[in-house]
Amino acid sequence: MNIFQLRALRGPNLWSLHTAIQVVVRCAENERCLEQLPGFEERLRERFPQIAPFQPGAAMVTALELAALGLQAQIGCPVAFSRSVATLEVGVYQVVVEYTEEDVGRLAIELAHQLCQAASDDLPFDLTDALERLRKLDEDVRLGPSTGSIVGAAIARSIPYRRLTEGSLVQFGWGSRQRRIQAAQMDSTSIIGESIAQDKELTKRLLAAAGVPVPKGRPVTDAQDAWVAACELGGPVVVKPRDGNQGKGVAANIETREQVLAAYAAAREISALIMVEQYMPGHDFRLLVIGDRLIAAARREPPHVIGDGDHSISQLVEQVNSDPRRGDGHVTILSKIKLDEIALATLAKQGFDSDCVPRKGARVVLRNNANLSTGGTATDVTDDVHQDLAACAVAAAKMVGLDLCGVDVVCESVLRPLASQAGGVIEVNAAPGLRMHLQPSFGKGRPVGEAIISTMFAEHENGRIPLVAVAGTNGKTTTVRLIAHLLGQSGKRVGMANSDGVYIAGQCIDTGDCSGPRSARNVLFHPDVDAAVLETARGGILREGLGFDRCNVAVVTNLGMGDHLGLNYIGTVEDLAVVKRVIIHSVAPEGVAVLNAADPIVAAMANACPGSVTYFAHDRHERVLANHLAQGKRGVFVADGMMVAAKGKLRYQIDLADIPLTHGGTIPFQVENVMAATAAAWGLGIPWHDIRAGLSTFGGDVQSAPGRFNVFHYCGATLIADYGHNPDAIQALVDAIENMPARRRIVVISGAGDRRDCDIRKQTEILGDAFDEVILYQDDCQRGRADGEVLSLLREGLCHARRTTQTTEIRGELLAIDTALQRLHPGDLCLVLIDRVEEALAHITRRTTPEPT
Amino acid sequence: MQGKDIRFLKILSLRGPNLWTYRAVLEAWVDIGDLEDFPSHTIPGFVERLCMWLPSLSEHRCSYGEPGGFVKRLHEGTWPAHILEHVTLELQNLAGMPGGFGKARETGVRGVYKVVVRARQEDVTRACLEAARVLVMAAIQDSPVDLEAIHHGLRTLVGQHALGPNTACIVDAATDRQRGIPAMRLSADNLVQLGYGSRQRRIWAAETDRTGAIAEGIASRPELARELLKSCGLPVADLADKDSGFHGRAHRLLVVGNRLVAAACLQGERHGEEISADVTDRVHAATAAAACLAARVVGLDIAGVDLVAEDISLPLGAQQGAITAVHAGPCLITHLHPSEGQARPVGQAIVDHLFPNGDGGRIPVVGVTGSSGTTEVAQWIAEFLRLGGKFTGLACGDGLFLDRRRIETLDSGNWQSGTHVLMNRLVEAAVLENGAHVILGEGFAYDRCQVGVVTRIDPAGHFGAFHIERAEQVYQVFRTQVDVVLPDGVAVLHAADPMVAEMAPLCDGEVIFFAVDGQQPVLSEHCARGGRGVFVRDGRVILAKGEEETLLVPLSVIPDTTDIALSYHLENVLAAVAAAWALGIALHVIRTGLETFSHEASVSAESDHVPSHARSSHSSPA
Repeated sequence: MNIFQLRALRGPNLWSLHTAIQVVVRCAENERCLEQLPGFEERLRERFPQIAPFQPGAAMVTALELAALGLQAQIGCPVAFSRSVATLEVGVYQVVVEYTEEDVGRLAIELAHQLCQAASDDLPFDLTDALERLRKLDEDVRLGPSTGSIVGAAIARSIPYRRLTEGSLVQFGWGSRQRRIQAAQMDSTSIIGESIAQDKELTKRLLAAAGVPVPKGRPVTDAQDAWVAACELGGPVVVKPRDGNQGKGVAANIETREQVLAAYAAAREISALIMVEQYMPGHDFRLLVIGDRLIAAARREPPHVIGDGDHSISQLVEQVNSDPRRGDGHVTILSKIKLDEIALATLAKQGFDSDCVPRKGARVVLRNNANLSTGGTATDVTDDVHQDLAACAVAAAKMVGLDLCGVDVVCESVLRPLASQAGGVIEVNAAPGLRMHLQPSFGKGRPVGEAIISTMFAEHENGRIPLVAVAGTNGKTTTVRLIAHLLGQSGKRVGMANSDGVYIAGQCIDTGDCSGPRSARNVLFHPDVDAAVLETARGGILREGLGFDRCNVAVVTNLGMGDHLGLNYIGTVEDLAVVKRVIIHSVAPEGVAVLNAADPIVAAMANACPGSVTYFAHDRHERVLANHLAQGKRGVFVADGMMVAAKGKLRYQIDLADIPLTHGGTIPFQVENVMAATAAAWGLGIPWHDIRAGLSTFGGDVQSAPGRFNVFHYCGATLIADYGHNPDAIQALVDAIENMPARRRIVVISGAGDRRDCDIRKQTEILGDAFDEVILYQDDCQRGRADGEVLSLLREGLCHARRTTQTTEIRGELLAIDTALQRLHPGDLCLVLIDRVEEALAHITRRTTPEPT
Repeated sequence: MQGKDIRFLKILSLRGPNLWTYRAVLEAWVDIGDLEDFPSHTIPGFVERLCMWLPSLSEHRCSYGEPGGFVKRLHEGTWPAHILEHVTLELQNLAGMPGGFGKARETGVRGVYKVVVRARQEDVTRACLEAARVLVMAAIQDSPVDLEAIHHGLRTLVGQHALGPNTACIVDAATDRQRGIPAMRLSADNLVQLGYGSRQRRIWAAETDRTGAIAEGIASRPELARELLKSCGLPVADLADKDSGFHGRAHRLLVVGNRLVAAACLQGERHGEEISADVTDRVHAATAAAACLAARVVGLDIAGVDLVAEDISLPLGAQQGAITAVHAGPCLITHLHPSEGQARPVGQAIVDHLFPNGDGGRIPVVGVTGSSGTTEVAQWIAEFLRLGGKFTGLACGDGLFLDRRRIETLDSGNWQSGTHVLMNRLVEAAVLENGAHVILGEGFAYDRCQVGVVTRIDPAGHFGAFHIERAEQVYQVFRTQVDVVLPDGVAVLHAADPMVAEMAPLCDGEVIFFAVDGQQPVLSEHCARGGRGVFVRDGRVILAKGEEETLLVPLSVIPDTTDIALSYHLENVLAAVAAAWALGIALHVIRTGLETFSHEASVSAESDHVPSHARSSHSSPA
């Protein structure tokens, strides 16, 4: 079994809406049916007993598929979808396995392959090690619990998200409505607020100014001054280094002169800057403030053991650590208590070592901080917090200037205001850990992610911008441009990606074929985009899936005889339909699919649409359209020179004479594009006066639709330049010029080398019946064909031409154009099928005067 | 030389508007002892020595109003306190902290003077005062001084304590005459609050309270930043990558609030200083748009955008130009002091961004002063504001109140508490009581106020402290409250107190008089001229504007006023009503407040959790 192609499908794809790894696998003859491999399945199940059962007659690829899925499931990844399909090529299969993390999916395939190999060769396979590798990788790459909770809340609100880095920087929403988070920070979280929070002295001063109780105290200059400061404060004090951590050099709850002097000396060992502060008795609490609300509160306890009079401290620690909820690091609810240097030092301060046996009931603290990651515990107390205390935490957050922070409070009880007990706020933390509130060691978890999301997005907002996806064999680009133009009527800044490039508010920011998921993601990332129209070509869908999860409107213009057939295991128009249908699957439940009723394969896609359908066709009596209209659903058609949008008794009519793109309705395929675009605009809820205005100002000129039926005049002859490059497009062009009077017709054509032979031949077959003269040209760009190969295919197509009487072969596109221009007489019509769009159009524009529109 | 010494008896820090000036000053009480008998011209060589040590004293105009004025005074004979003032100012100037205001005044005690000098930064001014004393004494005694050490020490101190140049240019632009936005330094670092209370914004160098931490993080990861910019179609280049194909001269563009405000072409370094030329006016519109987009993509409100371009007047695409980096908290100095070309008002641009449309960042601030009744008046006004729906901060003799929470029970009618109120982001309106001791010893917490109330003045009660000995001086103290009323503000003055009534012409804004007796001549004349007045007639509180009169309430509804209809208490209520009227509080709200508010209850409220030792009350005179 040999894997020779691996792809990560990062968005909705041919197979499902889930992210998945797709591999193409070649199986040897005996691997194509497991029954032919005696003992394989037994050996496989010995090595990986949890693998799902097979259907009879399964090939080894099924083992690969189910192993890759099962391995991920074993480490807790929520994955369920997998599939293996034979291709047209014998012994070649496509295997698709869902993933939650791309790297984990890739490794799962690799390990599954190894497993199959081991089972096949009867060699050992270390399942434990494999699972451990996967688990480790998953922990490394997946979102941490804080970020994960926020992303989870966004998903529940149908807010799209995208990780911008391998870390925790996440984009929510699209375009101008996007927001960002990074761990427990929002994009509105102020850097100045964070700087203030980091300066504990400054924080204390600001909080005190706001009337938030903080421990009183001051820096001291020497031991004597420490005692003076203690006397000023009165009552028990804390002596500590100003810049200490982990509780080093801290002496708490001391009162006598001797104690203070000794504590000063001890602290001086750690730092030169010593503080004397009022001692606040009580527990450590963490209050989480988001926006201007208290969202959660937890009581935090440092790692500790309770003596039983029998066991030593190290034995007690072992007992505590045997709790299955305690693991290593950040993944489990609780972490193991470490009996390390810091713990031993903490013990020593209490007069213990690890072998001491504390008396029954004695509480022995092993660390002076309550971080979960070092074995501390958190108990949810959210519902206990007194409203004055909550107001105090919010005031602290406001004063520091943080919209998301953890306020550390020391007090006896959160049931009472701080002022009624000697409690206070110790510090304010930016980017606080959320784990203690999401999964407290004890008590109820709190919907912290939801609170953050609801601060960033108002109740009914999901950060989405109107998004239209367009697919089809022909007319995509014009339709995309026209929809973008209609969307722009109301002043929206439209992001558009098509096979020419990426445009933001009319400005081109990328060129080349931009109909793939990368360009889609770029459009949806751009901060100036209020609405997006995306051409979604088959290549991208096959390669990577869609660049978005969901769209408001999906348009499939037509499939016709298809294009690009034969590539990527897409052999038939039906196969192609499955690819184009992916965007229909991605229509939002309240969205609209715009489908060509006259194209049966397209019309049938309606079944796949989660939303509603708008059909379009020239003829309102087209069966599918007529039925649809009869049911009171939306349809667009042409009647008496008018384009009509109808729903039940509702009618919107626009005279085709007012839509310059259609040349008064004489160019049938442009009428189709206009209907598709109008249906899409209707689906988006664009006001009809905007649609009308937009249609009247969108011309088929070089500027607004380069390479799409651009009309020029040259010495009394008419010249049409178009980028048509497949039989359907050619047929549509021929249909269009049928309506145009001409003394004599000339066509200039080349062929794209990456199409099937029959498709290249078919183009000249169509043209041969409609043109008097054909100029064939060949350019440098042969797309993988040998010199002259395309020309000879084109020539073959002309063998049975019914109209063509003269054929010329030219090298070079521009020269071919010049040749045609030379031969034109007044009243002639010339169709130039251009290849290098920009260059050719520039050349033609130079040589002619474009028709004023 | 026994007794021929200059001694500082006391140095007061007046941190806000005060008796002397609107700005923060130090007021040193200086005892020159027997030097009282030795004016400058009588000490041989003194003037020459001093002028040799500090030649730039020749610029001081002093009372002559022209350069050389002060030196002329030295030659004619002036006293050490006055000399101390000028030397202190000059030392500050030379240390890099310019500031012109200074005054020296005799007290009633022989040889004791008050020397007042502008204190942009207290520690620096203290050090300058001390150094000035050393210099003047050395010049008197003809003893040597280490001038260089003094200057160096002071310059170092300025470097440590003064605002950094980036912060300073923003603060200067905010506080200048045109914008008049108040500024408060919140830390020894460059953290500065602009505006008051809920309307405040904060800056820290060229970062604002809306500069996102995430955006700053992205900017500090150049690779990530470039990747994001690239995905939005911006040309980017890594300067470290020599083969990127991008080239050109290095430029730094400053984007503030989605607008290009300055651009400089960087031309390398000379003697460790950056050489740069201002090119702001030449930047191509598409390049400016690209820089703004880059700031938006990263998410910064203020950003420095570095780019390479051979010719900044052409689009980047036309010349292999590219963006190389985006910075948070960009350095503004490049644009403030370009080696070549025009300096750009980047401070103004940032202030315009923080406070668009001429917003002054102010909340309604009411200052209440007078010899008595001020606490009660402040309490009443705060109640009207609270009833009107504003989160009100009140600092008065009864303590510090944030809305209805009493967070301090000690006397809080002082600079510190007032400052705390104005720092608080929740506070939408502030009422601050200031006794004479605040004006004399601390200064106001606010630079200017919407409403300034002066209740009544009992001059003799203030004699003794702060070398105040004459009624005229007491007048000078209290008028400060009227001086700081904003041009669109109101002074609320007691018509029946002659000294208070006399302050009316000093107010930049409107005046509302109050008096129990509606026939009181000052009040009735004021109303006759179309002014506003508040008084009692026939047992009813009347609001008058010119001839138009509105009956507010009968006295009978106001607790405790009927029996003692002519008491101070009623005057206090009228003062508060006048202030509320000045603040535009709806009359029905004022009426409700009068009917329901109890000063006593407000003092006891919320204090049950707070140890209420040492409660002060100067709410009404004994």
